[in-house]
Amino acid sequence: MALLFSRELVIENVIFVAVSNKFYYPLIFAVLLLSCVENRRSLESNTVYAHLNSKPDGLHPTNKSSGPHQFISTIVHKPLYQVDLRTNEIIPTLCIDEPIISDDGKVYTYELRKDIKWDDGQDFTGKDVEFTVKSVLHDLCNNPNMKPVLRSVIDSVRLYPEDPYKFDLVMLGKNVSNGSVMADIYLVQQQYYDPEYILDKVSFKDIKNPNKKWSEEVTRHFENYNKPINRSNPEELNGLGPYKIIAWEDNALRFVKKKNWWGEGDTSIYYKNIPDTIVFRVITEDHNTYMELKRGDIDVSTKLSTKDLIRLRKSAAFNANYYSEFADQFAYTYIGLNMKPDGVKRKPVFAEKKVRQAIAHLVPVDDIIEVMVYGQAERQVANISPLASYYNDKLKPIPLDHKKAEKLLDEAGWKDTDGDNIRDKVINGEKIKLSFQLNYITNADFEAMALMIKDEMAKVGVEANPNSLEFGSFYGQALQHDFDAMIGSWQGSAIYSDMGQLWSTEAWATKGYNFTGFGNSYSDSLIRYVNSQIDPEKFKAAIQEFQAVLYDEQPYVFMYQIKKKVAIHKRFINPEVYAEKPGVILQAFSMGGASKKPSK
Amino acid sequence: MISSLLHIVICLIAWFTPGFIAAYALNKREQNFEPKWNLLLGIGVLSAFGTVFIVFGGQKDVFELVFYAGIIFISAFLTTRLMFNEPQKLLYILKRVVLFIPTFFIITLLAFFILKSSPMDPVEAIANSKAGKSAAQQNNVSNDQVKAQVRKRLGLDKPTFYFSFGTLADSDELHKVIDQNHRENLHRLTRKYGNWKEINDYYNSIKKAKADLTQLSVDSIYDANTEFLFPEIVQRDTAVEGWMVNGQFRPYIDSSNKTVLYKKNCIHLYDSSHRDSVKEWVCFKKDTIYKEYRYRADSSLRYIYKKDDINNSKNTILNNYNTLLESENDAVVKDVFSRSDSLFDAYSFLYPYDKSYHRLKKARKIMEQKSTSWKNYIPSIQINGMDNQYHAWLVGTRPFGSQDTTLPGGLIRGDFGLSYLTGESVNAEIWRKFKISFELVLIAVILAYLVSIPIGVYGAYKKDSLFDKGSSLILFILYSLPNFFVALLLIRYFSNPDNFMWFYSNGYHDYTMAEDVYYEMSYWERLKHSAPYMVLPIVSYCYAMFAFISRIMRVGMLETLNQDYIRTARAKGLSESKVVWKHAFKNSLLPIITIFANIFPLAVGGSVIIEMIFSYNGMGMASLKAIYEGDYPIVIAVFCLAGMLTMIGYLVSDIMYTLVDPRISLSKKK
Repeated sequence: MALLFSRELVIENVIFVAVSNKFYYPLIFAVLLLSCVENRRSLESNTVYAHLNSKPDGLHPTNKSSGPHQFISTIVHKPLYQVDLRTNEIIPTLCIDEPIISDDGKVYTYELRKDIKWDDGQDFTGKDVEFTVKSVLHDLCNNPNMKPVLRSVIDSVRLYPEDPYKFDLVMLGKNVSNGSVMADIYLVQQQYYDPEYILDKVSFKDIKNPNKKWSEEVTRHFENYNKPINRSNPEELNGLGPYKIIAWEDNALRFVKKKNWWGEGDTSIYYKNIPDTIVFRVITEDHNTYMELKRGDIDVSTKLSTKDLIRLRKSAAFNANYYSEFADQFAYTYIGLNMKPDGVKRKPVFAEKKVRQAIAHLVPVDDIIEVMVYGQAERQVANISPLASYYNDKLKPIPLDHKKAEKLLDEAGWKDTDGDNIRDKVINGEKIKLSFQLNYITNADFEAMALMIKDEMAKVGVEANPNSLEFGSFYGQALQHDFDAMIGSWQGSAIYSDMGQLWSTEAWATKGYNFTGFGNSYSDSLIRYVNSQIDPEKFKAAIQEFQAVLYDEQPYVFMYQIKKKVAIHKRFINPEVYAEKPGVILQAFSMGGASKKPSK
Repeated sequence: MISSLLHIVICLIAWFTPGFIAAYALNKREQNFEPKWNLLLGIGVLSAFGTVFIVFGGQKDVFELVFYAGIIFISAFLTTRLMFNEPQKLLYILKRVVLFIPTFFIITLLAFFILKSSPMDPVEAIANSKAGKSAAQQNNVSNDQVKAQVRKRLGLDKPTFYFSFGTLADSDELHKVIDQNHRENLHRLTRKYGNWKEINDYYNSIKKAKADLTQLSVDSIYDANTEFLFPEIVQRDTAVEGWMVNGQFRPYIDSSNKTVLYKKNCIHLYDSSHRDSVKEWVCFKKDTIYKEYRYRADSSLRYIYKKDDINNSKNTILNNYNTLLESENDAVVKDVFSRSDSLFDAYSFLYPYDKSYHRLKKARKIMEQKSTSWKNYIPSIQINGMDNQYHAWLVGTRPFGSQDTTLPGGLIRGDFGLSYLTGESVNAEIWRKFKISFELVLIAVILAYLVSIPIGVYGAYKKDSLFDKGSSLILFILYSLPNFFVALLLIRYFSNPDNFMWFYSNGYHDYTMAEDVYYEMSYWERLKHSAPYMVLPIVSYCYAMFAFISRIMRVGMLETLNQDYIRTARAKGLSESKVVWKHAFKNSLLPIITIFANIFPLAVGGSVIIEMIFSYNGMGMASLKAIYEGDYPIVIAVFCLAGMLTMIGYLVSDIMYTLVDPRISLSKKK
């Protein structure tokens, strides 16, 4: 025994075997090979595997709004009404019909369906709507994304004591968003979030009073209400939708169909709950998504890169297994120009309209679309998507035109006076060069784009210096107005949302999303007019005028509306893809499509 | 809280106790152990540490229980043999373990202060502050309330430490300021002027001026201007007449030569005897006095401000106030005041806000005049008491003996707290990720050793042979390839249906299987299940080590083979095998042991690149994400664990040195 375990002998034997035995390394190799894959899933299972390219930042129904959160929420929650993805019109979801609107346009009376139940079997009533609205309007609710919009539209909720399913949504005034502002708000159950009915003691008047001091009880209520819903407490996710979460894992979130869900039997596509299980798989790296699709291991992805989908479409196996599409979406990419820099750290190179217009003529947008996104994008000339009915199609894309740019710069007084090939001008006694930093989020595509822009600018004596930043710094500098120019993008929606968030002068003064400093009283009044206009024709005329103002002022060089890249497994019958987020209705995916088994 | 210190202590006790009893019984029977047991002792110690983690991973069947119990028993047995046979060695180990405590304390302090000096503010992330800046001022006020609530919940409204070293200029109130940018600017002002009271007055005066100006309604002023067309509203009225003097409305007693124009709530006054001079006009509207406008001498109509002027003035000054709150750049501040001055001079509708603006300018002037920057050169100690952030972090708020796990237990109870961003327990998160990374790293390192040591030894033994040169060439080519490149190549060729679909490259278990089900499997089943997922990450992880370890082994072996005692061994007729393996190999192991000590911290750090490429959600990914998002409880936990495990690693390697080289002693030489 002692001999067997003697140290020398053990070492000697191991090393001897290692070196002199020719089977040692083949043995290690064989062990590796024994680990080879087995086939994983059955294509017959009624489970949808959907792709998320990032983890949700929590699943709180009202306090979060990231892309993954929105995608997942569509199967867990229900809003009062929603956008019909086919027509982009608002349709009732939890209400019986369209609201009755008062003559002054300020009171919207809704009647709820009486068959709607929460998971604990309680009826969904107007009290829940009142609670939801109170919560999202309240100072202590941690939902800064939604609160400003809601507060600018909603005044209060009035209940009907004799009819718990009827309520009035009282608006602050006539507003184009009166009938759609609740489309992104998921209803929450008062009994569940506020079992002591604390918010019943809080009036809408109190909520709107900025100087109101909140009691300890209310503060404590919101501490609980704001508690994030995450991996550690997924069971706290409670909604009116057809699915409930059963597991929150590192790389996946699993949802199962609720038994005896209240909406079952409804024929509308939005009430379907066909898959037994929906699994959201978090795959953050593009190359892994690419491989998963090659293997047929994802059923739905709307977050592919253009390059990957083009490569995938060259694969016969992929084409046999997947429908794929470059679909429209409400998102655009732009170059923001700082119109009102501090003048000290950042020089006022873009303060003049003619300079900004010249810059627009120097951005090779068509080449960028061709090279960077393989032609899968459409030019966009202002803030409104060409998909919207109120898009101003009289505005034409600004072409790459060096001569025009030179003329505009000359007119603005920017000339190369010292022969260094960079234009300059004396402003307030100081000679300033037409040279600027072009910020972009660290990303290979944006870097290539910035270099293309730099090359074009250099041809007419404008110096663009690409400056790569990680997201936090990029965003922070934009908010602080501490930038010259920046490449950014915005995701929008089919529903009109208050343009004041991005374009009002107040959003610049308060260091909000108006990064560039665009705006004057006219544009502000146009925004207010558009917001308050419920006559569709007048609304359209005003919003088109606003687009024309933006087009003329060029605070952004609007570049393109990039297409969404979608792949859906052919084991599902006739799946539909929509421009409006989330782009697909997972709960309506029905098995029975023809597909090959994924290749091994 | 599996990974709590308490659990580890319990585990260690569980580990020692049965072994102690067994060893004691054996010792009674057999007094002396041979030194050759020492190597097994080393292995035992290592396997015991490994077992601690494996056992926590959960074992499900009898076989595993017996297996692990066996490992634990052997390890414990050998440790206790040490206790009897080499007490000085044990004493050394115990000393080192005791030294862990102050070292760990220093590590926590370092971690805590690194956290505190980081530029990111978790409150901004949790309260979604950046999003909250999107619109009206009222929303910012609302967002400030949420931020205040979050700061209170995280305990960030308390002083940082029991005491603070600073200067006379420092304030003990700075940590109470909610906005991170404001806090930083106040800190800069303190460094510059050193008079906190005046700085605070200045700060409050900016906030007051900003709040006042926010009340300015562009539409109201504009409407007031456009409603009253001079010819339409001329009426005489002597009931209310007055004059604006320094912003105060003063009624006239003698109104004989005054004309009053009024409509609704507004009254416009002018001196009819001096119509060519610039006059003051006032307007009452909703109890607010606006100094309205001036009129030109050549016109009987007044001068009306453009709406743009009102709007731009308001927003520019608001922006200027925001800049003052956040910036202390001299040139910027000078420019801000110059622009604000010109606006206040140009537009009389700003008159009601002029007062707060001048108060702010005055506060600034006082701050500059009463500068006591010398205070920055005089050190001071501020005693903050026990109610501070570090104390709360270290000790928690849970009473000792309480089972209420909703209250933070503090670091001394092994509770790293909750993630700032997700609200999850850091312990649970770290433990889950640690197991994943540790398994990967351990297997990768063992594989690297298994492959490299024989190559190194054989290369040295057959120096300059074809094998030596060939293996060196191949290994160095591998060594020169970056691991992300190799990882992507491996995926392309071995996890691709177009080539070889042999392994998986995403995650560590089958996505169709819920994680709960995966963890319910026995360890061996899990290992078998995960094998196809682990092969490519492991290969990507360890291939570069092949060259590294084998070269170190080769160099050590070459040196040893040239020693006199090797020649002696050969001279006395020992077989080559015995010469190499018994005499040379053992003495060449020291550098290899040094590398081995790094396994533990490696496991905590994880490999960011490998984990990202293979979506292997281990410590690397978790740490990177936490750093990016400012989730400092996780960063700090990783920092502390890495420090702790580095200490353990070096202790293990010290022990192993003595095992392979008897000349190295852990005890003091007498």
